[in-house]
Amino acid sequence: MRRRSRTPTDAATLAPLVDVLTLVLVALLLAFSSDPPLPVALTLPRSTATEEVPRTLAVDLTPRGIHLQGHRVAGAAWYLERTDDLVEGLHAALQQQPRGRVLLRMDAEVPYRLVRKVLFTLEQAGFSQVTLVAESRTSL
Amino acid sequence: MAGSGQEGLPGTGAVQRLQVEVRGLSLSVVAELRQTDVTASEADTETRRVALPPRGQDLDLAGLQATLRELKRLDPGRVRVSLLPDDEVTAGDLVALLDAVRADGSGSLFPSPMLGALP
Repeated sequence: MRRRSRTPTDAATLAPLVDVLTLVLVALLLAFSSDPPLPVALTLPRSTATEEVPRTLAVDLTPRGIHLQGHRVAGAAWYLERTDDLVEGLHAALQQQPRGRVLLRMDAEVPYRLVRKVLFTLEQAGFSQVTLVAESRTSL
Repeated sequence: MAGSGQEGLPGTGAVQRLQVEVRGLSLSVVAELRQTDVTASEADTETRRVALPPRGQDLDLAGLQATLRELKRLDPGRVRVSLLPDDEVTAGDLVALLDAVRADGSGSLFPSPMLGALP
């Protein structure tokens, strides 16, 4: 695993938890679609129910940018350098979306600084159900 | 337990608070342990810190799991642990940490991790 030179800090105080989200780690075999097609051809039964299928949004973090539903909404470098935690481009784009679960897909090299800012932004925008997406080791 | 710099963990009481701090490749497990079997006041708890320095060029995930396994033995019903990574921890390492705290080869550890931030 590639490593960078790091200097540990020695802050002695225990950290208060801020912006805590409960995350569920799911493992997927291959590329994930937020709107998965039906696995086989079938005819669904009809119902009078009016509830919609729970909506999921896909947020992707790469070293180059932040994407919502496949559309780039913010650059990564800009928000990595800033001290503010809110990612305005993502926050604005989220306002156009109905609330629901978010699937967060991260490039393995993205630093936690950006992950933390995106989580904070999701929380601020009213998206508190976040699922991290990773590739299953058993599929490798 | 694996790892160095640890003070050891007492064998009595439940875990009142549990967090894993990640600074670079160094891990610290911070556990607040109740000293008695009854609901304890603040005076009846003891905070212990187990330091797990890097194992070569990687996080000492085996040492982390050994430490967490002992804490799980003290408080089998506990499911939560707080992860506090520093800003430079990569998403890859974050997922590895989430994997490590959820379960080891012996079974479930703390399957409901939460994420926070170091001060």
